[in-house]
Amino acid sequence: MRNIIHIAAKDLRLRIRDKSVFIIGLIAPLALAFIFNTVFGGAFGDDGTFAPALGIVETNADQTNSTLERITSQLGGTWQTFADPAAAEAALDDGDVGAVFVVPDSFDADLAGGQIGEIEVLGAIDAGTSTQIAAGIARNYTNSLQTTQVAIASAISAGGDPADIIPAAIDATDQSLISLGEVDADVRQLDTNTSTVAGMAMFFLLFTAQTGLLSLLEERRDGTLQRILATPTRPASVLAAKSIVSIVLGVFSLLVLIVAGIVLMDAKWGNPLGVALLVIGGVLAAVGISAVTTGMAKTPEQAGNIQGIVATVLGLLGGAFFPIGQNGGILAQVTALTPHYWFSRGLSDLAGGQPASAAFGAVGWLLLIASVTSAIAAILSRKQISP
Amino acid sequence: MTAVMVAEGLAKSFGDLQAVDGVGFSINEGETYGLLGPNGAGKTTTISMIAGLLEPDEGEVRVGGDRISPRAVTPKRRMGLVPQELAIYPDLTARENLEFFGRLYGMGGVGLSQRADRVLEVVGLAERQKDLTKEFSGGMKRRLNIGIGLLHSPELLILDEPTAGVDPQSRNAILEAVEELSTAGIAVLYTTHYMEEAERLCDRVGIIDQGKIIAEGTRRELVEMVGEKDRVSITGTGPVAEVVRKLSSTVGVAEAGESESGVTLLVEDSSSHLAAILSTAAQAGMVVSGVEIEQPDLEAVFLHLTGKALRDV
Repeated sequence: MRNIIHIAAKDLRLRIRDKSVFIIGLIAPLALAFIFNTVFGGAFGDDGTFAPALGIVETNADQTNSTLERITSQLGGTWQTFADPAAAEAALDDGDVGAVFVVPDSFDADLAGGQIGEIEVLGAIDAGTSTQIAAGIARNYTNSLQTTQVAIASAISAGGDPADIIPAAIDATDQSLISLGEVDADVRQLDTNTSTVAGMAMFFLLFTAQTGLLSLLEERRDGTLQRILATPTRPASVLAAKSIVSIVLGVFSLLVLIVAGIVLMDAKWGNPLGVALLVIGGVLAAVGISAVTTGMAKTPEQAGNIQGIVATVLGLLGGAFFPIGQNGGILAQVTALTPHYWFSRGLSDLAGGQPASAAFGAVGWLLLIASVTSAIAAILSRKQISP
Repeated sequence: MTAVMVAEGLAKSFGDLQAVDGVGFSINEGETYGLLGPNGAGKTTTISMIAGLLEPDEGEVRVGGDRISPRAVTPKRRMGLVPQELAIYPDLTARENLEFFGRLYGMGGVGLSQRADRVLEVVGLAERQKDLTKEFSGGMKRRLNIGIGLLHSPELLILDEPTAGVDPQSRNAILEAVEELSTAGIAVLYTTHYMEEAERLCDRVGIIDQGKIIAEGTRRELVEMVGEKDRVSITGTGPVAEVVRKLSSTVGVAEAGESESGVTLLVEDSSSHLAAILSTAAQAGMVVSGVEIEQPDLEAVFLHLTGKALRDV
């Protein structure tokens, strides 16, 4: 046991001395979280809720675009009207709006004649999310108008009263557009800033967690592992020491990110005990996965490459970059196999002042991932630990 | 003499390759044993089994009476390993390197600190003890590499080609340090490609080839084993033909002949017979002005036994 502590202490000293752990564990995830926050920032409000700043170019004052305005209002966003496209582009450049609808002058006339005009969307280059949302609204708006036309025509030809049919059809159109903004209840509970920091934290945790284990391959390459194994130190003790270093660095990295998230990005993590349990579960799962990838490699470089691929794939599947699981289908199933998903899920479960017990389910899944991967790693690492 | 290390019937194979096949030898207290062999002869595999890094397929190693294996703790306390490749941490200072490995051997506190001071003095790094080893020269790193093996005062020290690639000054310092070990009673297992090092340091030598020890003994025993004789050149004046005739029948002289400056002889163990030879030459009327002895070296023995020169392999 004493030798485990001596080896772990030496490794921690070396990692702190070469400063790599600070870059991987702190600077990189914080920087990326800031970048993500900036990208999404045009579409989300100070409290992290969805709030796009949209506008419309109205060159034909006779047209009413109340539906588009109402949708934007109901989404919690702001709305501006521009007299011409040049004014709209200036506002986009200044960052006053994220996207602007440009409705053709003949839109209403075309509609009356049974034609659907094309609504153009102008977007700010640094507000991609708002632009995509605006484009989606415009596309669905025109699609639904087309559907409404067909429905009204069918109802009238079937003998219906136009005075009743038309208002009902228009109301149905509005409702279908508004439903575009609905998202899965599990994810909705976690505000955007917290979700962004959590995703980045788990993504980079896989790199931080590998740091300790990677030194096993480095020591093997450099000959110091052979020398350690020639001392009264059991091979399992070396493996335990490396795992402890990974766990310590992972917990430290996550805790600092959590604090930084609160201070810098107003992240809301929830019940501290629940968060602590999630941190431990998340770190153990990340260390388990890292142990598997390290166990598969013959050199530190190879292990780093494998880990990069695994971390990226798991990050994508786990929703570290965007909520892929919300697309449903097989992705919704696969995302549940990643620690990223359960870490974010656990934080979501804690949101809104829930007690620590709300995260028990997610913590359980994280520990299950840790157990399975550790068992696999124990088999794989036998080669690494032999001189 | 007490045997510190006893290896018996060691065998190890990797797939179809029989790396070591029935190797056995022992090293006594205060004895330096040289293991010589070409690359791929099985030296490293043998050392790995003795150091408890590899489990032998057959046979066993006992250090201080305890059987060694990768999981054995007690016998490893009695051993120090100086691997051929530098096994030190470049981002730790010389003292930190020593203290880290010292702690793994169960040392600590004032005892560890004092022992580290002593070893730093022995390997000539006391003044650079607080410097990171990545700033050291190759020779300094080599000396620290050896110092780590010495730190816990082992009963058996395994040195695997410790002078490979070092400058002459550091090399001499290393050899002197190893010589001091045997006088301190430490058993040393030494492998090297430099035959003169083996001749200078080793009390006994084992020559390993194709996984087997093909010859073992003191240098003299090995030389006799392969029939190599000392060449003795006697310079002087007098009746050379008569001197040659009388020396030809002297005990220990295998062959005698005239040379430009005197007489040349092939002698078995010249150190034992030199006095009788010089006495015979004087009795035959020769006025001796000089004697030169060329003893056959381990290089010649190695060449004879393996058909290869050690440094060519």
